[in-house]
Parts: sequence; structure tokens; C-alpha cells
Amino acid sequence: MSLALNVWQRVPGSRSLEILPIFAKPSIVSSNCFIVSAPAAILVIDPGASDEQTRRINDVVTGALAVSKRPVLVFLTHCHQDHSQEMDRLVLPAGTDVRRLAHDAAARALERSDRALTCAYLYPWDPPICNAPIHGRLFAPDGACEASGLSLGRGDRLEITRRPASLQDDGLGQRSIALGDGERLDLYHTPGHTSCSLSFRIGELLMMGDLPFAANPGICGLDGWNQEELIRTLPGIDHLLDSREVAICCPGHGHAVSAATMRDQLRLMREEARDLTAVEGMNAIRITGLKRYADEFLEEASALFTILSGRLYAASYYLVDEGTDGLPVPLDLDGIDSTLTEFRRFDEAFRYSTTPELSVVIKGAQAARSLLQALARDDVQRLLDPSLVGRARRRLTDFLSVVRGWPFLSAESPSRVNSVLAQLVARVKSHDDTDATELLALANDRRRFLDVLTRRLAARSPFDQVTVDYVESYRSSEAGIAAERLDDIVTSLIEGMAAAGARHLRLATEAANHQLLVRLSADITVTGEALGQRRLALYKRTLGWLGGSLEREQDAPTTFLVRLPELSQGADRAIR
Amino acid sequence: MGDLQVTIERLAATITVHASGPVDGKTAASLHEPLLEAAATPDATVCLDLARVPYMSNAGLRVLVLAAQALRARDGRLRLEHVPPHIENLLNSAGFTSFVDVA
Repeated sequence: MSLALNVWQRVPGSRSLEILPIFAKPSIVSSNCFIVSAPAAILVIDPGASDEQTRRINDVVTGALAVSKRPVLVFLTHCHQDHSQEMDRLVLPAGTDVRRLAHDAAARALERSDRALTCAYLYPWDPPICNAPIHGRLFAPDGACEASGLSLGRGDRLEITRRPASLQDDGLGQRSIALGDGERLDLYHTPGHTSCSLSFRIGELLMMGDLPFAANPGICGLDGWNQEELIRTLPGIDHLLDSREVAICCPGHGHAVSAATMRDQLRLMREEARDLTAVEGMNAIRITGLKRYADEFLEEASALFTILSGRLYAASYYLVDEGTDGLPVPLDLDGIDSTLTEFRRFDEAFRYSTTPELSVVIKGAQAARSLLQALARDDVQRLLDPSLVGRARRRLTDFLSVVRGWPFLSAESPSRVNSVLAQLVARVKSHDDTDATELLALANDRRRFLDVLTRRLAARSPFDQVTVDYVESYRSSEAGIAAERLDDIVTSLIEGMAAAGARHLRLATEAANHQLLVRLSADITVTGEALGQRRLALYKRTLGWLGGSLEREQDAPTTFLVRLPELSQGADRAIR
Repeated sequence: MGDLQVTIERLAATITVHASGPVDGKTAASLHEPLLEAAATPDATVCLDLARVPYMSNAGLRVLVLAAQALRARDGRLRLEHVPPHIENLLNSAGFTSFVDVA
């Protein structure tokens, strides 16, 4: 069972209700809209924020009114700009009785043109906030100012029945509106994404607004978001979906899904939501910082995944001699390419459009999740360079954590710097391993032989001829940075300098003013362009968050100086 | 940003494929056919000019491997010219310079 786009169709589980869904292209610019034709009224749920969508709503509702003149009730699932902007811009036939209904908190936010709660600040074109009067204020905390009914033209009245949360099995506050012919609209207060979030049920359809995205990176932490409320709401929705009274769920963005799919999605989200304690709130400054971080993350992820994939392709060049049809590929290389290409093009298009910065951040988070899934396959670790795979995984996890607003860096455990660097240098030197015993032992097992050969080829360092000397001139060497993070940054710099042509590198530690320094010198000049300016910016940013720094100490030949954070360093870790 | 333009230049026994634009999952197919066709030309030396390629993803690397394999079948090697530093860096890191020549 599904919903067709843009056509009238019977509402599943109802006798006389029809629905016309308008699915907007998924973005944070405009939401989906649902138009319902009932005997007693026409409902418009979330008009959205697009002129084109508004024209379509006007046409559809005008057509329905021509068949039978009825009041038009415009509802909001919540007050965000992408759902509410067009609420008072519908142009309907003269004499049409239009009534607007929303949660009391949404009505208040809109009335005072609250740019934070409506998220209007996200949009660079400074959109107008709809502050037209709300006729039906639902779920007011004291109940006193809440509508118990609406007076309509010709002396009619629309009754709104209240059912307190305490009397409901699902624990959700509920209101109901009779739609004629025994049909009913149920409204549930489902806070979490915003305090004013409502879900609507007609027949076997549940329209949920943005609740299904409430724990997503880039979404959680927006003004009005509340982890405790979200955690309280989700079991109620789960109960509704379990009751078999709902067959299809319609989110505020993207396509409808079955109740079973939504239930699984929300159960996963419940697990994620539990971890979202103390997340940093979103605001304009933080979003600008996240956008810059997304640009840097894109460069780093592109480089790491291109190297991972490239090493597999390089292996395939040699494997042809083994009579293979292709690689025993542990990665969906086309899928990875498609994810990164889509993100890159979205990011590039941003420069020439008025797309909100948060859209790029959310796109980056979607790409990061998809790439993490690609790395989750069992054979990835078996066939690919574990150092590269580990680095890629950590950068993806870092990005998602920072976008979510987790203060993950403050939990950084100290590392013993000399030991980390000594192991790193040993690992670089071990790349010239030529022991073929494993291969010889598998000569009669073609599949395992190819597996091992692929792993050896794909993990083969292209820097065999590079030497790295390590000078440990400072012995007491604990610093406030995790061992893996320090290893990742220094390894990436070494690889970048070697790939740019350096043949001899020198790594040394020393102390100055209570701070531990790591100096990395090459025998040639390595340009920022070769290393990737945004990748360097990412390492600088990460060290800066921790209270350290990265600087180019000398150009010719190139020397980088890494100032490691002190153990007690309590850096300002907010995204800037 | 946008599309990849590919032009072919023949000079004596050398075929140079000039690419202009990003070589990624959306555009690599435009490079695949002309480059493989050049690689299949008997006795031709094949060069790929990357001077105007701002970005190359793994889809581009795949095309390079296929061309290098086709050339190896007749004892040839793919020659890359005017490679931007960050792309040369990736090629080195991925181990490509063991079977393609970077001028």
C-alpha cells in the first residue's frame, strides 16, 4: 500500500475521505503538503514555503471547492519556516471560509515573528514569517486559551474534542475534529523536533511532520528541539504504529513509507536519541562554522576514499595477470563515487545559489552516514589498508559527532606522544615486507590466494623509497590528544609530503613553554596545493579545538610544526 | 563545475586526449570511450592531458586503469601530462605511478 503523488485518492481505512499529496523535492527549503477532501471541510496540512507549491495548492483546493463548497482548514505540523511560510498566501475563491490551526506554541512563535523558533534565520534571503492570526490554538498548556471549537460561516461550528495524554494508551495528548459522515481527524502532540510538533491521523494515514528526522545530525539541536520530549514522544508513536490503526506514514519531507518501516526507523532513532544528551544548540554562527567544516571534510573524505579505491584499482591492474574477471571488491566503489560526487556537486552549486548553509551540512552528514555503511562490510578490514580504513572511519565519525553537537573532543584521552610516533615510524618502515610465505601456502586455493594477493597489493605502500627518521629529544611526552588522532594527522602529513616527492622526512619532538612540539621536515618544498589546502585547514581546525595548532614553520624545504595540546588544556571547543 | 569536455589531438604516432572539467562519477563515461579507443589504436603513443581537470574521483582512476591495461597488452604505457599537484599526489598515494607515467 502506498500513496500516489499529486493525484486524488481514497484515504486508506476511510469511507469518504480523499487525499492529494504534494511531495516537494526533499530539502530544508519547503516541506510536503497534504490536501484532504472531507464531507465537512477541506484540510491543508503544511502549505510549505514555495510559490510553485502554493499555486498547486490553490488549483487543487479551488477545484475541490467547485465540487462542494466547504470551509478550508489549514494546519501546521510545526512552526518551521519551510512548513509555515505560505500559510496565509493561499488565494481561494471569494467567500471561502479559511481557518488556520496550529499548536499554541507555534501560534505564539509565528505571532511574534520568532526567527529562531521558526528557523527563518537559516535562509539567506530573509524570508517573511507568516504572522497571520491562528484561529484554532491547540494544546495550550493551561487549556484556558485553547479552542474548543471554531465558529464557521453560516452559523456552523467545528467542535474540537480534547483527550488528555493521561487518559490515552499511547500517552500522547490528543484532539479530534469531526469531518462529517463519521470520519475524524485525530491530532497528537508529538514534541521533540519542536515543542509545537503535531502529528495528524486520518483513516490509516499518519502525517508526522519532521519527527522522523529529529535525531539526525544537523537537525537535532535546532531551536525548540528537546531530547527529553523526543524520548517521551517516541514510545507513544510506536504504540500508535503497533496498534495496526496506521498503515502508511507521511513525513514532512520525502516519500511516504509503511507503518512497519517507520516503526523500525523510529526504534533506531530512539536508540540514537538516548545518546543525544548535552548536544550543542544550533545557531547562525555555529552553522557557518559547520559549513566550513563540511567543505574541509569533503576534501579529506574525497582524498581518503579516492586513495582507498585507487589502491584497489591499482591492484586490479596487476591482478589481470591472474586471469581474474575483476576485483574481489570489498567496497561498492561506484556507490562511494556517486555519494561523494553528489555531495561535491551540491557543495559547488551552493556557491552559485541561495541554498541555506545548513543544507550543505545536512548533505555532508547524509554522505558521511552512507560512507560509514560502505566501510562496515566485514571484508573491508580484511582486504584494505587498516590504517587508511581507520582514518576514513574516524573522520566520518568525527564529522557526524561535531554536526550533532556532541562535545566529543572534550573526552579526548591523553596519548604518550613518543610511543605513538615511534609506532607510526615503525609502521611506515614495515611497508617493504616481502614475505611471500602466506601466498605460497595458498597457491592451491584460488579464492583465498586472490584475497591475500589483493590485500597485499591494495595495502602496498607506494612510498617504499621514502625514509623517515625519528628524533626523540623530549622524553616526558604526554599530550591532550588521542593517540589515534595524533597518528592520523602526522600520517596524513607524511603521506602527503611523500606523495609530493619528498624522499627523506625527519620527525622530532621537543618541548617549549610547557607545550610539546612535533616538527616534521621534508627534503623538498611541498606546496599547500599538493597537500590540499582544505585538508590542512581540517587538521589545523581539529588541533585548534583541542588547544594545539598546526603551522608551516618553513617553506623551502618544507617544515610543519605541530603544537600539541597540553594535558590540562580546556580549549573553547565550540564550532566557529 | 559541470561537464567534462574531451578533445582528441593526433600528431604523428601520438594521440593526446585533452580533458577539461571534473572527472567524477557523473562524467567519467565521457572520457572512457575516447581514451580506450586511443589505447586500442595500434602503435600509437597515448597521452592524457589533465591540465584543465580540477578534480578526479575514483571513477576517473578506474578509466586510467582500463586504458593502462589496454596499452600494456601491446607493451605500451599511459602517459599523463600537466597533472595538477593535488591529482598527482592522489595518483602517487594510490600507487598509480608504478604503471602510468606522469610527465
